[in-house]
Amino acid sequence: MFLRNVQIQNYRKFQQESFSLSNEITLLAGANNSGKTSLINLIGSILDDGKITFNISDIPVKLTKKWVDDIYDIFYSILDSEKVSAETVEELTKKIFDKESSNPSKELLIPPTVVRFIVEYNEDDDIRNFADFIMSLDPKNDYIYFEHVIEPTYKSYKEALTERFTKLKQRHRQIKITHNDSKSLKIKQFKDMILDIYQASLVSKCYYCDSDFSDNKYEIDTSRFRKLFNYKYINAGRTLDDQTNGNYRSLSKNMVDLAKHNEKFRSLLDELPDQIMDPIRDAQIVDKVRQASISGLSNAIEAIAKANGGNTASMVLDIDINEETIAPLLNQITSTKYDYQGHYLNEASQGLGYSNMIYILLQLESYKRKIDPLLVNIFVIEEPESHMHPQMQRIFGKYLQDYYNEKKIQGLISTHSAEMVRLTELKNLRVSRPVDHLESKIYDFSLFKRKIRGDITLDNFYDWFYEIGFPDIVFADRVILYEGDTERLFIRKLLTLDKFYELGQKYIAYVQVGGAYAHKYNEVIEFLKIKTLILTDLDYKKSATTKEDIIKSKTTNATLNQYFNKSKGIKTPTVEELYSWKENGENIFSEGLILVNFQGKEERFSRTLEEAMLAKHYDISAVTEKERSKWVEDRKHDQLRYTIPQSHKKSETDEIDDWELEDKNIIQETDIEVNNSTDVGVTTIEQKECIDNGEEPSEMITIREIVKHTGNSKTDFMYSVILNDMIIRMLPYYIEEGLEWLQQ
Amino acid sequence: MVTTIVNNIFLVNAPAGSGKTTKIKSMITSSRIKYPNNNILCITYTKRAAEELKKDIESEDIQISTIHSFLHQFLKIYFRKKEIIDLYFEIYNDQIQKSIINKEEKENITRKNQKYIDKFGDLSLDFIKTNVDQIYYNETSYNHLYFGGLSHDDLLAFSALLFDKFPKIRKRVTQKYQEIFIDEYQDTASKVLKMFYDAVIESNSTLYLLGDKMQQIYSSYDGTFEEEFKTLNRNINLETNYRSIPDIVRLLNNIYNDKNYEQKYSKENRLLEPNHAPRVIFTNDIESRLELEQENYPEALLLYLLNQQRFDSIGAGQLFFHTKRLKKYSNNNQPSAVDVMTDNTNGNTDPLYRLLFAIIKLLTYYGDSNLGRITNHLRNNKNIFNTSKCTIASRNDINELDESLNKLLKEYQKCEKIKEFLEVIKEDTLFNANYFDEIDQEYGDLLDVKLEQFRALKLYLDNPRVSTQHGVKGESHDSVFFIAADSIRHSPFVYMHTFLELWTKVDLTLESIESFYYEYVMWIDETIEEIGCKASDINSGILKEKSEYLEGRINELCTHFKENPIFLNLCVDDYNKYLENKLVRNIKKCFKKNKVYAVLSAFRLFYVGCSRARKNLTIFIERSNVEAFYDEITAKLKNIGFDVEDDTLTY
Repeated sequence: MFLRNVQIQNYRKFQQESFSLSNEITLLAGANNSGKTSLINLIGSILDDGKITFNISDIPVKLTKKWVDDIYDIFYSILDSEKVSAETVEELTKKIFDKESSNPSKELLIPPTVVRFIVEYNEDDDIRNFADFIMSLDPKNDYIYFEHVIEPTYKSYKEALTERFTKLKQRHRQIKITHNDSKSLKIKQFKDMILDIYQASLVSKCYYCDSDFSDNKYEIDTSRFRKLFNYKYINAGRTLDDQTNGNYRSLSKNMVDLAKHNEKFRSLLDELPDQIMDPIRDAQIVDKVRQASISGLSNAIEAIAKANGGNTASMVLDIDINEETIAPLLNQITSTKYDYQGHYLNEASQGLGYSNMIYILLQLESYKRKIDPLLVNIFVIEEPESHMHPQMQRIFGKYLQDYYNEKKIQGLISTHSAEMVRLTELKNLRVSRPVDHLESKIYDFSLFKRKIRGDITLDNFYDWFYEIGFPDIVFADRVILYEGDTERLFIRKLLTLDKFYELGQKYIAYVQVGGAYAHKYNEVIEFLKIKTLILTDLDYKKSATTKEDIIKSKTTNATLNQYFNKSKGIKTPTVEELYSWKENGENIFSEGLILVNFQGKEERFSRTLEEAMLAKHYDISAVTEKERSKWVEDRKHDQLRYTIPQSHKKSETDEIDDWELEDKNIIQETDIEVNNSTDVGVTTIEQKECIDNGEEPSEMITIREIVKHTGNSKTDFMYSVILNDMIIRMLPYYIEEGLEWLQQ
Repeated sequence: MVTTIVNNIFLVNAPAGSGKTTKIKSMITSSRIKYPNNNILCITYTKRAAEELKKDIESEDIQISTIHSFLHQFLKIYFRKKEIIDLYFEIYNDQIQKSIINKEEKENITRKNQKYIDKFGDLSLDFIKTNVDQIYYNETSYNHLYFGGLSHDDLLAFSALLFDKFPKIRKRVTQKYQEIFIDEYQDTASKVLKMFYDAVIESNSTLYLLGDKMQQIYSSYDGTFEEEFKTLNRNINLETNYRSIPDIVRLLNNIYNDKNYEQKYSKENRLLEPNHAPRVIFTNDIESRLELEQENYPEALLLYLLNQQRFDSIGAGQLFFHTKRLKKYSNNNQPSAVDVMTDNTNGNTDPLYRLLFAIIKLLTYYGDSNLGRITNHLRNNKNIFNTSKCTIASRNDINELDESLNKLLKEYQKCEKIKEFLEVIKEDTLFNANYFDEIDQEYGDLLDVKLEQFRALKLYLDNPRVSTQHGVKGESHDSVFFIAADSIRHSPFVYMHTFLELWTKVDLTLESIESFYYEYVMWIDETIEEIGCKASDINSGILKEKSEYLEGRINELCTHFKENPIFLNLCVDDYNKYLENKLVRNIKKCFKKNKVYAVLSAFRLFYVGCSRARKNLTIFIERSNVEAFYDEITAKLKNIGFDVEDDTLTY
């Protein structure tokens, strides 16, 4: 049997969420505050000890607020009627449960907190403990449906109301007699009391149900329900005693416990008491104790006995050693040590991460021995990566996976480690993500996997991508898909600005993608409903340098082509079309989740980030010509690192910095547009073209040319922008617009 | 055909005195030790038997209940499901339709229909369909089909249908229970046996059917499980009779006359010395002879064939007579008149008896001056007693209670008729006045019975020493006086003397009578079905029309059974008489299956009556009734192992 599915309604940040569990490990990943811990706590308290501490604050606040606002008038007026208190209690309770009408849907109750558990069994399972709860008659349906509900009953509500009636009445009177500004405070206090009563009236109930969870359901004792599960939980918040009290024996204890499952050890343990007893007897310890203590007391005892009519029995000492007394002794005297090249090191010596890992393994090992095939066995580890560095997380995570698989334990692991996510198969991943401060959702990737199943390329893509950028997306609030490293550098810096403070507070996943692949992310973005900014370049033909040429020119950018095609049905749009596409706001996709942004009219024909930055800074278009000497001057002034194309006059070569020379060599090796047959080490395409044409290279230089020559030293360029605090001045409009959109 | 034995379904034959209840308990205990995780289901025939077993066993994993309560509990989770309600209407459509139309204008149906219309404003099949949102077990003898209410019998029939139709349900039984015991299988309806048989045979669970065909009391079992019986595993045997001394065990073996059921006697019982050999006394005055014998054996159990005789003998005959005539007890359903008259717990379902027994208990505690038990008793019977009397807050309260109880005691001793007693106590604040509404008009005649009869019943229950074979099953007594008589007028029919006569002529075994009976009944049913009306509705017109068919059919029958001594002795005369003179009266006589059954019952009861004695067994037979075959029966009984005494010769 497996726990197949869990559904949660109206619990803290979860309105109505569900996720499936795989037969092996299911990973519940989520950033802090995404609600995963409270979810596991709730499930645990239902399945494990039944000690559910449930507060009114565990009900989504939207619901409680609406309810108390709705009910306020009813309470106020009924309390106003000044009837005998017993009658008022009766009337209020009846009103809430709508006893008068036969339609139960008219109950004035807060929608209850519900957790549903679906258990799956198969032909070979021994389901003796579950057979009573099978309600489906469909031979193909092998599920059993349980529902755990926390809500008031008529009785519990009346009880809670009765107990607090006097207080409620007092607060009601307060409202009536207050006529100043504090009236609203009094009303709030009255409402708080109404909610207090509601909280006190909440009770847990368990049902087994039909497959549709309809009203055809039957109650079972919550304790009986719990007994169907063999649930073990290791908590992230546990204090390893190593940490606090210097008692380094948490591992040792577990070791001894574990050994108890071993037959040989057990039989040894059985004999041990007698073996210990013998030397104690031989040493006549009892006699010696008696002499030492009882004899001293004997006079007093005798005297008392006489006074008592001689009826006091005499004292005898007896020693008894049994298995129960041996165990603590063994625990006390056993300690785990690490043998390191002949040196014994104690538990704490290996660091918390290591102890933590051993602790989890010991727990698993002892759980494994308690697996009961007649129950649903499920082991939950919360954030096992605690205190571990990423490399260790990866190794341990892998080990855990193998362990669960091999031992066939169904497990649920919560994590906020990207490493753990990376290790898990996509189909076993569940993600808990906050939508806003009040709401979280759970995303079940087994559904995602099923959705893309038909598309093999997409499937392969996700398998591959899964290992790369994916884990970050899972935890992120926002995603930025970018094409070049400089974008990332630039945006990271931008997010330190006050303007983008809010965005800076969010967890942003930066995913670098080649243009041809950006659109493949749509599926996962839509699935996770995560707001995503795709930054790309206009990338029209470089050879177009006049306005007329440019706006007729078509983009070579795959991302743009893909998305434009998606919205307009045209595969290769012109710059003009792209400009108006953007102006009309047609570059937004997936119901507002995705913005595809790139250089627009404001960037004055820029086709890359660098062009746009320079265009903004120098207030000229990307193709406006400026004298070379002016460029040299400006560069010096601004302390920016970009490459101004060489003049044909050798005398100016000394103006090129060393770093530029190095970079040029690299350009030659890597830039595909460089003609490798050219034997001149520092010749660029531009020059080559000029030389071919037999013309003198112009002294006039455009931003386009600057950027082209800066080539692979774009990173240096970006560093210089950032270090010289030029980012605001050089912030292109399309980036600003994109980030503002992302921030909203 | 060779029948393959089913390994996981056992037939545990448990003749009288073989310690069946002990065996069940020990099987359960062994199983719990060996397979602590097993769930065990134990179906008993009566609630009382269930209670009896539960006394020693208390575990969540073991469910002990009657078949009705088990099926209801097991299946009720489906009773609100659409597919189940649809099935219900599929089955009962015609019945409901027929009742709505009420062609014969039966008055009770007209009244029922009107009542429904008054309540809901409409009556049609469709309307009923929209109105029934669940079916339920109404725990009575009659269906409430307009409301989805199933009676005792229909709960079983409907359950059998569900088991058959929904493999999920059938499977659930064995998924849940690894071991299933059905006690008194011989009284369990064949369809119930079949349900469990079909469920278990396809599983790894084990089913044990325990009982003794010889001890069949009710005719719930109709012979349609005979083929399956042959496939059961019979490796578990209860061979020792722990109850009786060797003389009686031998006697029982001789009566049973079947090697398969031969019992051994226990070591302990070998040491017991009887006061006399097992004996049959022929007499012409059973009552006076009985009195005489009772002086010698005051502790002896008087075993009557009929409850009426039994209650007559203890002085509560009128009480039984009128209780039996209440509509709810007039059939052979549970609880029966005997059940409600002998169940002095507050689980008694009859409002009158529950009240009277509660009063008795209260007065007993009062007699013991046990205030704690008095208030506890009052509290436990809140519907009967006034709750305010349960809490004692002051000395004054005690005085008041004492006064009430004193008065109650006096009235109980003084009142002449039950009615009178009820009227007096109804006014008493000790009682909850509403409770008396439950004892409705139907009780009229019963309330006119003398209270004295109830007092006699109470004395008897304190120390029961008179029984019928039907009652106190399983109990044993050192000395048993068994009054072998006929029951000709009322069900259950028992033709003791016909049996005795047949016995002198035929070497009877249970197997031989039973198999003849089932075959013969099937033949009659087929014939009647062909005729097309109930046997009681046959008239001269129909007879004429079917005359040829009948003649052929009868000849066929007579040829088929021409070697069967039971048929030749019990039935053939009726057919010959009809063939000579084709009268309606004569054919009706032929179709009476009761005759064979009443002889079969007599055989069983004779055996069971004998089996009840530990040491001393005496059977009383009216000499005049056996005059015609006196010598033969004397010889037969001696041959079986009885001493035969004839007091018409000595006295």
